[in-house]
Amino acid sequence: MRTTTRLAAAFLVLAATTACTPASRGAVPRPSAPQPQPPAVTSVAARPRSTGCQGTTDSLRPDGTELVRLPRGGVIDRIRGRQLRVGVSQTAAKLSSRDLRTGAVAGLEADLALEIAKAIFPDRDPARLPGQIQYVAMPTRDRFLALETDQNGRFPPAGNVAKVDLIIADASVTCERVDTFGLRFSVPYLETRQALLTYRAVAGQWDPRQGITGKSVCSGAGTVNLARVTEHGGVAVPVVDTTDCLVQLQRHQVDAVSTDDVILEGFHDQDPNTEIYPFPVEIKDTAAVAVSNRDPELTRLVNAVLERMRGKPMQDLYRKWFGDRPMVMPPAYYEGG
Amino acid sequence: MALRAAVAAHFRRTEGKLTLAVAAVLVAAAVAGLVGALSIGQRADLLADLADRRGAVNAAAGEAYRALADADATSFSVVLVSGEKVAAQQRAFRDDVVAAAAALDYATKAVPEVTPTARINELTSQARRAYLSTGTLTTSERLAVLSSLLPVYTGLVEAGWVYSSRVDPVGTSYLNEASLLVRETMLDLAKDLRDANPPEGVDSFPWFAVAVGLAVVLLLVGIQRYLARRTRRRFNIGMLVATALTLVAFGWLTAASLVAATNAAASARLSATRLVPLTEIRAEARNLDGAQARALIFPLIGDLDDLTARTDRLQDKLAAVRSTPTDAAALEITPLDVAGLHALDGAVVEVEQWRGEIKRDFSATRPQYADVAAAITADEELKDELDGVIATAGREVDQSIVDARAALAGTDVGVAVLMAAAGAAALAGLWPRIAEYR
Repeated sequence: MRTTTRLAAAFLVLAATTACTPASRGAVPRPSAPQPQPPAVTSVAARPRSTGCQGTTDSLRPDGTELVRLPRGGVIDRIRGRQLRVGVSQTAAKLSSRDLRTGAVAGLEADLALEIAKAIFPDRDPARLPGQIQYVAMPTRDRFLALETDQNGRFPPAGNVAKVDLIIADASVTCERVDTFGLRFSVPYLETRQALLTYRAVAGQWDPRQGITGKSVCSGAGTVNLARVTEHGGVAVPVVDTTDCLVQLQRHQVDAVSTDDVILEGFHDQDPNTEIYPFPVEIKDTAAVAVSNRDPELTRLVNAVLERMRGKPMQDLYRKWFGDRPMVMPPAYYEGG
Repeated sequence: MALRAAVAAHFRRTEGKLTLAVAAVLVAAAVAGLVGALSIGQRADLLADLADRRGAVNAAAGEAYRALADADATSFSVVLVSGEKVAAQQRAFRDDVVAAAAALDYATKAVPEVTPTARINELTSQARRAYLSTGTLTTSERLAVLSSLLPVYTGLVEAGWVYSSRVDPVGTSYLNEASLLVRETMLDLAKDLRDANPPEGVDSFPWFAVAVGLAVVLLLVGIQRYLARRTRRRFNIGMLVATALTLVAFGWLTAASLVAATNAAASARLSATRLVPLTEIRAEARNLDGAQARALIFPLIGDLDDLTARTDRLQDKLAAVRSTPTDAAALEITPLDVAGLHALDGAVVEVEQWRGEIKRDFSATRPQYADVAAAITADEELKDELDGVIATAGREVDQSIVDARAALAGTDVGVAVLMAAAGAAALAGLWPRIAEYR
C-alpha cells in the first residue's frame, strides 16, 4: 500500500515537472537544395501513331530551277500578301538561334529561309527581305502541329499552335511524320548522324562508344532519336525541347544527350566541357523542309531553291556555319522517279 | 453524526438559508466574472491572432505573391530589352527576389512551428514537387518550401541571363524552366499562404457568457423574493445594486462583443471581396506579362488558350470586385470611393485592350518581334490602376480589426470588477438580515 502511494506520488511529481518544463525548440533545419526539373512532357507526345506507312517521303519535282518568273498560285499568293512564316527551332545553335533582344534568327536554316524568301519575293529589295520573314519558334515536340493540314485539323491541341508556311527545324524525313501530320517533305538539305553528347570526364568510367545500356539518355519528345535510345538499351528521358537536354546534362540529371550531330555541335559550343561521341550504331538521317500537303506549289518552289543551291552554294553555306566539317547535300528522290 | 445534525439544523433555519444564499451569490458572481472576463479575453486573443499572426502571414503572402509574379515577368524582360534597360530590369528582378525573401522571413517570425529538415526534403523532392501546389501543407511547411525553392529559382534565372547575353540558345531553356517553377509551384504556394477566413468564434454571439449572466440575475431575483417573504421588506438595496451591476456588466459584455464581432466580420468580408481579389488580380496581371513574354521567346502548345483564359480570369475578378459597391450595404462593408471605381474602370478597359493585343499577336497580322517585345516590357500592367485601391482596402481591413480590438479594450477587467462589486453589494445587503436572526 505504501509502495503504491509512493509510486503515485512520484508519478504526480514527474507529471507536474514535465508539464511545467518548456518544450525544447526544434533543431535548425538544414534542408537539401531542391533539384530543378525540366518542363514536363505531357499529352501531345502521346498522340497515337499511325500503323503502316501510307504516304511517301518522295518530294515533288520543281518546274525548273531558274526562278526567274514571279511565282504564282495558292499559298504563294497569300504569302506575298503578308509575310513568309517560317517555323524554326530557335534553340539549335548553328542551325537557327534567336537573339532574344532583336528577334533576329541566325544559322544555316535561317539562311535557307532567306533563300526561299528571295524566290517568293523576287521583285522586292533584297536588303529588306529579312523583314519579309516571320520566324516562329517551334519547340521540338510541337513543331509539326504548326502546319495547316487535314490531319492536324482533326487534332484539337494543334489549334493552339501558331501556324506557319514551312518548318525548317532539322526535321528528319520519316514516312510516319508524313502520315501523322499530313505534311510533305522537300528534298533534303542536310545529312545527319545520331550521336551522343556527354562530359569529357566520363570517358574513364564509361565509353559511350561501347553502348548506352542502362544509361539515362535525353532526347526531344516526338523525335526519331528517342525511340532509338530505348532500342539500344538506354533509359530514354524525353523533354519538350531538345535544348532542355543540355540543361539536364549540365546538372548531371542524365548521363548523355542523343540527337543529330549538327545539333550536338551547337551544344558543345555552348558548353565546351562536353564531348561528342558516335552513337553505338551508325544511323544516318536526312533533314528537309516540311510543308503542308495542301501546298504543293510551295513544296515545288522550295525544291527549286534547294536544287539551285546544290553544289557550291550549299557547300559555302555548310562551311559558313560548320567550318571544315565534311558535309554533303543528300540526293533528291521525286515522285514518279 | 452530532456535527452533521447540528449543521443540518442550522441550514434549516432562516439564518442558515440566508448564509447559503450569500455563499451562492458570491460563488455565482465569481463564476460570472470569470466567465465574462474569459469570454472577452478569448475573443481578444482571436482578434490579436487575426491582427498579428494571420495578419502578418496574410500581408507577407500578398507581398511574396506580388514579388514572385513581378520577378517572373522581369526575368524575361531582361532578355528582351537592351542597353541601360538591362541593368534596370536585372535590378528590379533582384529587388523582387529580396522582397519575396523578406516577406517569407516576416511571415516565418509570426509562425512558431518549425518544419523539420526531413519533411522539407520530402516536400521538395522531385517525386512530390508536381503535387506541391495542390497538396495540403501547413503554413510553416509552405514557408519552408518557398524559402528552399527561392534560391533555386534565382539560380536558374541568372544562368539563363548569362547564356542569353552570349546569344546561347540554352539560356532560353533555363529561363523557361525558372518560369515554370515559379508559375506552377511557387506562386500557388504563396497564394495559398493567405487565410482570409476569420478565426472561428471571433464573429459569434457570446451565448454562454450571456447565459451565465442571466442565470446570476435570476439567482439574485430569486433571493430577493425569498428575502421579501421572510423579512417583509419589499426591496433589499444591496441586492438591487448587485442585480443592476450584473446587468451592466453583461450588457457591456454583450455590446462590446457584438461591436467586435461586427467589425471582425466586416474586416473578413472586405478582405475576401476586395483586398484578396485585388492583390490576386495585380499579381496575375504581372504573371500574364511574364507568360506573354515567355510565349514570345519560347512558344508552346496552348499558348493562345492559356493567355486568353488568363485575361478572362482577370476580367471576371475585376467584374466581381467592381460589383461589390452595389452589394456593399448588404455586406456591411465600406463601398468603393470614386477614385477606386475609376481605377477599376481603367483596369477593365486595359484588360480588354490587352486581350485584343494577345489575339492580334497570334493572328496573321502579328506585329514584328521587336514590337511585341517592346509592348510587353513597356510598363507594369495594372500597377498604376490597382496599387492605390489595394493600399486603401488594406488600410480599411486593418482599421476594422483595430476597431474590433478597441471595442473589447478594458471590457474583461470591467466585467470582473463589476461582478466583484455585485458580490460585495449582495453581501452588504444580506449581512444585516443574517445578523437580525443571530
